[in-house]
Amino acid sequence: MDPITIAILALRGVAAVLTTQGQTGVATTINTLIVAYEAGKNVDAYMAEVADGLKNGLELADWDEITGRINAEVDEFLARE
Amino acid sequence: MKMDTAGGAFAAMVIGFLTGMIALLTQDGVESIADIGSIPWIVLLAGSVISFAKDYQALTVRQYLSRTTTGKVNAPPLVVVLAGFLALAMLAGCSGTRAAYKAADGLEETAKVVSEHYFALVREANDLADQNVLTGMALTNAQNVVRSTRPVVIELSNAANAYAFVRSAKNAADLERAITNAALAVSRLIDVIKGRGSSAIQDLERDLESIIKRRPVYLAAA
Repeated sequence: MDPITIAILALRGVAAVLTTQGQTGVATTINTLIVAYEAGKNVDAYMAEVADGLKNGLELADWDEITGRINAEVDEFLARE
Repeated sequence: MKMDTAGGAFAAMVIGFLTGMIALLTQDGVESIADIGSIPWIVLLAGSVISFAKDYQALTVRQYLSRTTTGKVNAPPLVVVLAGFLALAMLAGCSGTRAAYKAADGLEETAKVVSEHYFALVREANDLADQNVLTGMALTNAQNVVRSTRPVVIELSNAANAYAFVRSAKNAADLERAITNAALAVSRLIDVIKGRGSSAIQDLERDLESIIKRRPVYLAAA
């Protein structure tokens, strides 16, 4: 288990204990921090796949596909309230 | 020697050691643990041992103080250390992104890597919103950034298509400009995603500070 995973598990544990103690504000903040960290990690994992594709000489997706995906995600995001 | 005190100091020492190791691994030219020289290891180990000794001393004093109070949270320093560790990982954890930009060969591939980065960031913004991390004003601000940056990224695809069709100096210059603008758009989106993490750390510090400040009230009640 890598050290970051251990830190996340420990923070989740602390958040759980704080919740049982009624300190929900701090627990929510800790969970927000963990989710934000995981979001950054997901982006990096996706970009690592792109890097692997380039290193292995694979063609990147064509522009129609890329802009189609971007527009779909952006439309979904902008529709949120 | 009480194990909870020694265990806490040991945990802080391990976290400090691993943090230092991550810092060494993120240096240029260091690809694996084997690339780290013996002197950095000695410095890191000596620092960790000193850290253990000082933490043990601090935690012993803290335990003594805790016995005289009835505060509910007994480990704010540990939470801050773990949160700081996570924040460090958040800043250092971009090796895949760096590798993608490094692997891009030429203007067209660079343009596609920037676009893929933008796509990945918006997708994560959607995930954050799904998990109720992006809500209220933070969501509105993020939507404003996405709304204003989408045309820039679409313009990038137009410039790349024009360059692929006719490889003229003008089209190359247009594509370079479009890549720069799109990179700035990506940078703004990164601020939105990582900004949630940064503000979470600030919130955490504020919350913990208020808990610590409330301690005299508990003490007075006891």
